[in-house]
Amino acid sequence: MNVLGYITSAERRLPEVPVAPDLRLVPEPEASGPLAAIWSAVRDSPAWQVAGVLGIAAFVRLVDLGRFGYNGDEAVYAGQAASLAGNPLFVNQFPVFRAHPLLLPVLMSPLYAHGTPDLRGRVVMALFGVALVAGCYLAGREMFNHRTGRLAALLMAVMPYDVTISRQVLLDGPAVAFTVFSLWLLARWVRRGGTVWLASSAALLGLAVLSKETMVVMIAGAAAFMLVSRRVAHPLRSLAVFGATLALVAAGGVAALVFSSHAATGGDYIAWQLTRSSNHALAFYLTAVTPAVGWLVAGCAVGALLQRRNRNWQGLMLGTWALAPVVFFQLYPLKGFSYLLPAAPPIALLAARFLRTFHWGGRLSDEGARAARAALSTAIAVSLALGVWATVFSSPASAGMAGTGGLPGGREAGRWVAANLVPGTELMTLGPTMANVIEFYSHYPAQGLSVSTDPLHRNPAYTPITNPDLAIRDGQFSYLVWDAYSAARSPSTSARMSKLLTRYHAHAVYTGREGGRSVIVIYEVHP
Amino acid sequence: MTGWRRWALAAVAAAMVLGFPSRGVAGATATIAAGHSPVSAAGRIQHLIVIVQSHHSFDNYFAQYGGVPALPGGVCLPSAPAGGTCVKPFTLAPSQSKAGLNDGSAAMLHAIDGGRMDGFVTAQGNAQVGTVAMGHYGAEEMAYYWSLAQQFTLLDNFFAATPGGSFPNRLFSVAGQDGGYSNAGAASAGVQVPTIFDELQARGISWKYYVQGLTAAEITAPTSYQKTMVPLLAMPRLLNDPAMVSRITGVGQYFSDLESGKLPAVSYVAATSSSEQPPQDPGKGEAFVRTLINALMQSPEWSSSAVILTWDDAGGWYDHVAPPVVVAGASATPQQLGLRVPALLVSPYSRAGSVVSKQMDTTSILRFIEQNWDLAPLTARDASATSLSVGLDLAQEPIPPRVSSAVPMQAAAAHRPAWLVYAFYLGSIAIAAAILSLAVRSERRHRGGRPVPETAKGPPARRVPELWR
Repeated sequence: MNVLGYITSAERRLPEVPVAPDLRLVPEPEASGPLAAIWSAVRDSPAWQVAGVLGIAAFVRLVDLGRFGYNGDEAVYAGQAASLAGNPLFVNQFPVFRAHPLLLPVLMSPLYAHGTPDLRGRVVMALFGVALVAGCYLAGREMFNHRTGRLAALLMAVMPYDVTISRQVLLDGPAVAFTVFSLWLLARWVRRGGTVWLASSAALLGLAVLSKETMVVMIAGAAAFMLVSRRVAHPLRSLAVFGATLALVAAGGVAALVFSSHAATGGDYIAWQLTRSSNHALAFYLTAVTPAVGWLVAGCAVGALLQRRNRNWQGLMLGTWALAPVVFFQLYPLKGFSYLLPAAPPIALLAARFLRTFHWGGRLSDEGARAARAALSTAIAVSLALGVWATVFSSPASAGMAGTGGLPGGREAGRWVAANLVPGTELMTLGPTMANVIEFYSHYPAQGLSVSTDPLHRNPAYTPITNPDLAIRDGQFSYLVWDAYSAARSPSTSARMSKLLTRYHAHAVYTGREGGRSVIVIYEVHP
Repeated sequence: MTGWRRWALAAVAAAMVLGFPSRGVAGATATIAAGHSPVSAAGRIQHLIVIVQSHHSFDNYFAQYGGVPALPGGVCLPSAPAGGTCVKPFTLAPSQSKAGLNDGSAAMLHAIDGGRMDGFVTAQGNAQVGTVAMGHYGAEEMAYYWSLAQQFTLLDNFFAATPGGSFPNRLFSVAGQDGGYSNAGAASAGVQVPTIFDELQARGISWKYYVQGLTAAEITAPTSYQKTMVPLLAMPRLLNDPAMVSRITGVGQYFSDLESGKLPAVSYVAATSSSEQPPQDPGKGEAFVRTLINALMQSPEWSSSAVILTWDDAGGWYDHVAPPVVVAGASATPQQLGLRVPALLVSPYSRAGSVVSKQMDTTSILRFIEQNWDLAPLTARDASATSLSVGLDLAQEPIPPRVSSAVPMQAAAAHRPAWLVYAFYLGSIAIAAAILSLAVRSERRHRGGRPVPETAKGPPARRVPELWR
């Protein structure tokens, strides 16, 4: 037995058992011709099947990736990476230390050392998305079998929710990729024993926390599993090992803050995050995230949890892993589209488990049930793929939610500013989102009109415009930027800017259009 | 600003105000009167570096400098065409220095008002902005430029070639004419005027145009601002000539050329993000110029070089000296010069701490190049201009280089903790990788790497409700 009282593999002395049938390469004797031979090989080769799923995942995450420029969050994370790399275009505009840990900027910084690149960061994120799909497969294979892992990976590969987030430079994609590998290793620990697997799972979750601090909520999922499951002999001891390893890995983030003399900065951001007021209704996740996950996928996952056959450690682990972020972020006043992404892989795994085992109440023959399961799985995958198609190739509404995609016209507006205005010109935007985008692409300073003058109600990174009239009359701002995205989020700020535009005889010097309508207009004002 | 630096600047300012007999301050400044005969620069000056910044008048930068005539007493310009209140010159506060003033031809002629110099406030069309036009910087902001004036030659009667804005004046600096282009000319299809670079190229004299932040891709597709700052980028004729276009390069090349001893005979340097054009902070431009001059002083080329540092136009800021009208050639049309702009001649042969008051303008740069390298004048304007050589004394003992201490850059400060961030985060990744590697090796040792089938599950180790097996 190991220190946790778990029976180790060396102690089991089990007889050799045949490899599971779905792990074997079965030759297809009827195959004739090269195409048939290839199909036969693919059909019977788990490696080729997984490669195919990963290929689909890569395609939908990489195709037409640079169609729109960065949104505000992407601009901030990429700007942090560039600033960390010492890129002279960014060091004075994007502080390295902001609201989140810096693992992603550290990993991306070599890509942003020179110039103003935007596509390469997204490619890295897309590759993290493919890794997440691979992790989903590994977790499914570890918990159930190859076929369940493959189906779960396919559902993740074409799930609009994950595809949308993986196509942006956001912290959630890499963070959740780490959590999926952590889930896989936790399952490996339960199945095979060995404290080192438990520590490995904790280490990966530590990297997830270093990617985005909100991933600490997944500790609750792991802890709940360990405390409830009878597969864990010494839950408290296991939890201690898990927590200590995670803390050891995650300590790097805290140490970087403290030794760089930015502990107070970190404190400011935590205080601000914890005191932010609610930004969405209670039903936000139900109405915004569930459709992106797929109603049928979510339904299948619930069905799996209700199945008696899943009342085992696998069902418990996936249930706690999915519920921890769902419960926490539902109760947390601040809501964001990407916050529930950690729940998506366990939901896909549960859905795949349901689709692989549902027997239609015994009303169908084995052959018929198998065919029905295949048809339902295909239908769900196709419906998800259609959703992805709409996500990738549709024109995102300029009034869309934060984190749902690029910002149409933002990149072009920023480049216009860089090409046509005197360097150093300050611009007034409606909100900080457009200010970040303008700063990223033009390297000109920009400030958001909507930024609160109350320090308790604004991101510590932003500077408020305390008196917009005075600032315009003093010549601090000669250019005002209106955008449809920010106007839809804050109609009152848009109305304030409209008054300024009227009062100071504005005329448009640049109009960015998308889908035939103006999405960004830059005005010159004359006090 | 650190305490010691503030005290040092205050001491310099106090010395100027009190007229302490240090070189370059009011009491000791030698003024070279108009009509002083220049010494030939030929042979001694093998490198000329022309740095043209943007949008500041002489008074805007040097009104409070002790070595030049003070502003006339009682100046107070009307804030409205009909009179009303008046605005006196004043020292700018940092928050007042960002206004982008109108410096178009019409506004400048309005400000000059036939030589009465009383239209600067009303030229801006708004009393609030027009008031800013009467501001000037003090010792703290101008520390570096004033220190250059104390050590080298300040030209206090140097005018912009035309009251038309950046682009026509920058054209004058390379072509001796504006070719009829207004400030919007940079956006035109193609500027067609002969330049000094055509002559230098034809004579096999080396030259380069160093442009801040210019990338290789931007040379063929420059922004309109880059074209304004570098008129060559608005000339397709030059851009289509590989021999010519290869001489337009990023400013990083300037430092490489200095290091490798390949500084050309004639160099032009154009700043973009540090051009000082409002709303840019002048301090940023000073830091940029300081790096250029410091690098030159630290190179062997210093002993045979001269730097002319000037500004393209006054940028709408007040200046009290009425710009003269010049008549270039017997039958030429009189041409109105632009307002005075600051000009500093930095060379081992500068008249140290002197203020040269001989009337010059932007085309004086061309006149010096033509004299020094024996080239024919481009136009009647540069043919009749006074050469920069008035500000040099080639017979004097060369002034040794005095490298100015660098201002700590904000960028360097921001970058300071980067290595700590990398160290800690990469350390975390290394710890995670080590644990994973341990797990993989442990499994291989026990099992030879084969996956364990589901049947290998161990028995439950403790009793809990049957719900979760």
